[in-house]
Amino acid sequence: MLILIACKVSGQAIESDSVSVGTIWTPTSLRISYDLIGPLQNAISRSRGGWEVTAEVDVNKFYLIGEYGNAHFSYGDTTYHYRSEGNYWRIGFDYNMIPRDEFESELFFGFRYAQSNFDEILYGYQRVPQYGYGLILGRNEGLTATWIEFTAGMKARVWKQLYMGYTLRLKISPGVSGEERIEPYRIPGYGVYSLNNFWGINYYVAWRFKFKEKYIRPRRISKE
Amino acid sequence: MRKLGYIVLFCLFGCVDDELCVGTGTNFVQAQFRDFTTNELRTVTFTDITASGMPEEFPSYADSSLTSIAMSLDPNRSETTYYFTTADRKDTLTLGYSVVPRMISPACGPEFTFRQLVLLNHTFDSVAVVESTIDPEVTNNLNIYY
Repeated sequence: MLILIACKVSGQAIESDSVSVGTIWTPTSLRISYDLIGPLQNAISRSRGGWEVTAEVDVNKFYLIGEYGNAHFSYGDTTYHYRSEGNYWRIGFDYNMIPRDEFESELFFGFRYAQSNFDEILYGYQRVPQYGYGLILGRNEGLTATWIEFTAGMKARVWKQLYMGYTLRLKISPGVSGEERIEPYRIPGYGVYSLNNFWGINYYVAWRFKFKEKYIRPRRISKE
Repeated sequence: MRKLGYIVLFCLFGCVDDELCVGTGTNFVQAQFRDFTTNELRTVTFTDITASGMPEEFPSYADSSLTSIAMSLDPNRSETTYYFTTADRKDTLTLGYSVVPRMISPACGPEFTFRQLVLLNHTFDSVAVVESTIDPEVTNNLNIYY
């Protein structure tokens, strides 16, 4: 899917390319994004939800990125209840593969370092061989989880400085520190802790605050 | 743009959790009876075996000849004591462990996991913890020497 989109967008960029990007490492814009997935989950699901905002600074072919969010998960039936809630942040960068696009859209891949601080509670009962029903009651408070992410996605300008786009995330190598009274299950911002890799997606609506024109070096024209 | 929208929607509703509903925990500790001098497996005839916590469905071990036993652990406590009675002696064995609940999945709910088996007390000639991990795939946690 990404390859198809990349081919399409890259094709547009190449057609419109008459100049090359300069190498000035001065930030030219700040883009603030809001993730629509969390509110959508809030609306359609009782078991999960949250919110997430992203700040991106455009520097040459890179976007320096900071992300912050909150997520909660709640599961249960007549025999148990589980809830996990916490905040998370990510820092990293995206590399824009179409920096010369005339609409300043973005097709990117990138990297993140992420951390989540969260609480969990689990209570219920379970039938245990020979002992009948055992009472389950445990709470994790103030656990810290870290992981890394590889990202890919796109953002396209749809109106003035309004952008929309998505980020696909491959999250790997989760680690949890803190006193575990129950085995961590859902890490806000990551996913299921017992899985060593986890896919995620965000769909953003963003507004770009452009405070400087991006330096674009004129293309050299051969005399031949 | 419409095609892109379809692709994004596909991802939104396609990327759901795919969790296996398989529990990994067990509350059974495996023990083997061995001869104190030769370390060979030994068949011991018990007149009775009981455990603390008054298990509901504890099997009857009256006049049982065993070379090994699967001992269940009480999930509501951090230690369980077993009482082994033969024709000429009565022994106790107290095992310690930690009980850590875990979620299997939203559909399957939680389960107990038992960890860090330790030997707290015993009256046998000797007892050795050969594997402290409490796991269904472990075939022997303890050697009990007579």
